[in-house]
Amino acid sequence: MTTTKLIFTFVGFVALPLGAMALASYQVFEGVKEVEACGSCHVMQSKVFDMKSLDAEGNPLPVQDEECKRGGECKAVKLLDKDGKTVKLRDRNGKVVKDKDDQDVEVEMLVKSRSLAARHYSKGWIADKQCYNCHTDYSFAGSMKAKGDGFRHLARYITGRYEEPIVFRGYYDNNNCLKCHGETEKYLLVPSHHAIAEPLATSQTSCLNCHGPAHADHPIPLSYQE
Amino acid sequence: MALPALFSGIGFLLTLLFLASPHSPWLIALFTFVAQPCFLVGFVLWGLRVKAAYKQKTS
Amino acid sequence: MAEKSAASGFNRREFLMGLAAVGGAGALGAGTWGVLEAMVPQGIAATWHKGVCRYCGNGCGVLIGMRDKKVVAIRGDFKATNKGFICIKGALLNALNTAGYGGNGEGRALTPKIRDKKTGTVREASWEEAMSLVAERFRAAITKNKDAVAFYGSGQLLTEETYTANKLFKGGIRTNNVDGNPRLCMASAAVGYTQVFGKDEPMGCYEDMDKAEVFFITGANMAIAHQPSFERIKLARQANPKSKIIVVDPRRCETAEYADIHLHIRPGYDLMLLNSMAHVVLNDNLVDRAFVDAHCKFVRMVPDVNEDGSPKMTPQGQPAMKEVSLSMDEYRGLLDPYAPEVVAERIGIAPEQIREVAHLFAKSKGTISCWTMGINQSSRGTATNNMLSAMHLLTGQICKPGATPLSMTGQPNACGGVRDCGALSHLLPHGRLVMNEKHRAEVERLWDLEPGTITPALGKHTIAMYRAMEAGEIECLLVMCTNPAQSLPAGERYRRAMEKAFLVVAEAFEDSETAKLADVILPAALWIEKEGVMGQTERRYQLVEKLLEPPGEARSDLQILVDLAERLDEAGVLSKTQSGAALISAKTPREVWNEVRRMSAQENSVYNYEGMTWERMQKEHGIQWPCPSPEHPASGGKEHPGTARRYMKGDPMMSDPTQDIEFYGQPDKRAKIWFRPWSNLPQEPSEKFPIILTTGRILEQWHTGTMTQRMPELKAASPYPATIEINIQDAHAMNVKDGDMVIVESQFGQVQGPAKLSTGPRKGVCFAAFYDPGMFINAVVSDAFDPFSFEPEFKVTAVSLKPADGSVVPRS
Repeated sequence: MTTTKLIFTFVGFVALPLGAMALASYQVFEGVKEVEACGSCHVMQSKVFDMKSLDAEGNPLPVQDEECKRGGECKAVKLLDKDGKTVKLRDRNGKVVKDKDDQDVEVEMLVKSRSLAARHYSKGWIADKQCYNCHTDYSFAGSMKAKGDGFRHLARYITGRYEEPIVFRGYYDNNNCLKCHGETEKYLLVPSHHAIAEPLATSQTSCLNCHGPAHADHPIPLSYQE
Repeated sequence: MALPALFSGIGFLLTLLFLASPHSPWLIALFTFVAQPCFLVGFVLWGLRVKAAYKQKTS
Repeated sequence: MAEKSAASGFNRREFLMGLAAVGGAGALGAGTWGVLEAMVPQGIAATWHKGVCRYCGNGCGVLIGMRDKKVVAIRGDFKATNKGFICIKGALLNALNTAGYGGNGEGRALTPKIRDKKTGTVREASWEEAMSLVAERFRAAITKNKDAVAFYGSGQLLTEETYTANKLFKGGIRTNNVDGNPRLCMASAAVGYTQVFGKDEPMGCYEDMDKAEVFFITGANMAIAHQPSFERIKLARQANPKSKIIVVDPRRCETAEYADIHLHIRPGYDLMLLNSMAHVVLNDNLVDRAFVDAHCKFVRMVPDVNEDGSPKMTPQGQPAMKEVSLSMDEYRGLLDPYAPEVVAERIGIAPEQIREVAHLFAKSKGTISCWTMGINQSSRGTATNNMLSAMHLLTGQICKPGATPLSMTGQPNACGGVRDCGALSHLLPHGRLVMNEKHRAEVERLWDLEPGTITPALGKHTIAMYRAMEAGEIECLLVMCTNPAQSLPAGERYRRAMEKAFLVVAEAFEDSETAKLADVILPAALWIEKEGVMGQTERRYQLVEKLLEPPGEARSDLQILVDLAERLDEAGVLSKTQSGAALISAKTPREVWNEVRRMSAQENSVYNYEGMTWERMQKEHGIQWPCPSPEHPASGGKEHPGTARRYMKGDPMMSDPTQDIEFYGQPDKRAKIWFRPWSNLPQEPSEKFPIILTTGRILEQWHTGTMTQRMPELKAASPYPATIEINIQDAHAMNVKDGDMVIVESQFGQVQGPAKLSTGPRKGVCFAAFYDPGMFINAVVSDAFDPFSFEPEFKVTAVSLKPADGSVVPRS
């Protein structure tokens, strides 16, 4: 093999691929942080829509009544998928849930959801990459773990190896809340936070215990024995 | 060099597809789980070729 | 030749290498995925189970996380009515069942124990020995006089247990001396609702909090006592900027801190405030005339007179009262003395505040009122409950989403167990009354007893029961799942009374103040060590499933009651059924629950849990009654989902389902708007006792602390000894600093505790919580009680405050 050929093949089989991998990986690593990346999967769509209080097209849900427009109570509206059809509620095995009249139950959302995700979003408390910011643990290891979990979600999604409704494996680390809230005056002034500092630190007690579900259709934990 | 070229070629193709449409979950998955392994395999095969060529040269 | 072979060898080798490469790439890809799957952290729990919190009447659903047969974590149940919200006490339930034994401190009762009254020594005993002794002592007392025994139960016993105790004592032993700690808690609300609507229990639900615009929170520190519901109210408040939270409280408590309007009233003056608000409604044209004309009537009590004009007397020698109807004008006239300008100063607030609040109440899109002990634990408790409902009826703020008088329940099963199963001295199951012949007859028929078995006389309510023990009339008392030695008012007096009687205490913790006085301690199962149904604030029944074995020799209270019933039956002191079968034939929770369901779906009951089968309770996350079976016409042949709101369209108990609203609890379908005149409180400040003591709770401790004090985090978060919260002006007048020991004294007793200076209580008011056995505040508290509900007045006791070191501030 001549030196020229060696150099060319090196560039072609090593350098360029490495460069392409680096470029594309950077694109992936940054791209998956965006809300759109999570929202591209229909399973997550209801959470993203709840957070943003949007319809399937990404438009603010039609505010149908005057009351809601004036800042009063808002009624629930049906969630629509990309084709404009109503989204049906399904159980763990993917079967459509029926109501007492044996009709399919359709997913409804509050126009102004009061879930933690919706409140954080609507008040602009997290500037962007909202899903990523809450679902990434602290420091480099945390972000690697989050990205790894993202790829895992991806592998499952495209191979169809999941059941609906999806359940949460592992546990949600409280530090994801505390990294923003943990040092604030408001947090430190609550005696209960000090009382359970240890169970909070290990996430044995979840912040969500007192502060409620993060998402409107909050996933129940795995191995829930019905 | 046909074999390594084949694998690296698949890798480049999938990478370019992904870069063209970065938000598609399929393309992200294909890049992560197919393109990158293909690149690595191409790299290994290239290395074997180089090793074989060097051996031939010195023998 | 060589070229050819070289060429074919090259192809094969290439091909094999190609296969290997493809395999390698595939392995890399799949391997990466495999690594990612393995990287997912193990959950804290291996399995999760649905349950109900052990503590307050908010009745939060919880998810109990278990690993290796231990409870390792708790989460709120997102599918239950609380939507996943719980409080710090609930969040630490994982430590409850291991508290007090096995290296986690002492206190859990693991074996039966018998106390020798003479020497005071306590020794372990077998179940056989302990139960034989109990049965023998009860038998001896019953043989002398069936009313010489009594049962004091709890809003924390499971429904099946309370039902069985009630049946055993009222049907079997034939004494109506069955009462319980809901007498100290919800009796005024129960009697209040019954007097207005004909039947007990609220008509609204928690969903009304989502839809209300005005929140009228009175005599309730919801921020700490029903925290998940208060979170819900806060969310509603934030979502709707026009909404208002109005808090009525003699303390600027945590809830008042959050309020838009805080009425800082004098303790006990709630009735005067509500009468004044009613005055505003009637005089400022705020009455919903259409609603009142269609669904209500105005009534009052007047002295009953004989034909010659002399006052009629009751058999007990009291002046007899009778109910008369009024016109709206007459009613308005009766409220003249309650004009805001006249009464505001006595209440302790400004007249404009009364007017403002009345207008907000009347004209909002939906007004929900929430109250607990501040209203109920009062010598005017029932009357105040009547007036709260009256405000809703007058303004039409009722029977529509977001508008309802929602009495918040204190205990997790006061509704399901004691109130609904009728385990109070005047009740029979499901709203039936001891003094009603038709009701007694129906219950006797359902319990297969001879007609006339149930004694047609009122049993002793709680205070009367303990006074009867004091007088030696009640010789034997069975106490289950409660701590009266720490929770009764005028505490020292009733401790002495308990010492006199043969006291049997079934309790999980043998070091409770009540267990310390017991002659026999029976170790009881705690929370998920037994299974059964609990019913919370909004008529929602939920199933607590058994997930652990009770430690040591502890048994469920149901097992204890079934055992006692068998022994008393053998001893011949129980009524015989007509068929000859044992009276207490249902021995497991499921069997008892099925019997309860049958009792509820009868002619003289508006309850109806027939559709709430055990299987449905296992599957679903709580069902609100009425819930008739699919056979009931209102079900339309299908499983009934339960009833969110009563007395309105959709309620299967309505006699006319086409109506929008029907108060079917009353014979004429009209709710009663009562006139309740003010009368002076039994305890008013005097020269000797110039301060008013009011008692309550703190977030981290539940009631008398028997459970919560054993959770290290909760104990660390609570002051020990419990503090006496004193207004800074009163403290400065006594020269008392924060932390100084003070003596609180009333005509009933005295106690010493550290002062906590605060601007929370009004000047002239002090506050203490009752969780600390070492600071026995109930020794000081008045045992005056409401004339209708017999609920004691924990909220208003006249006391004196003095520095414990005896120092006196010199007057200049």
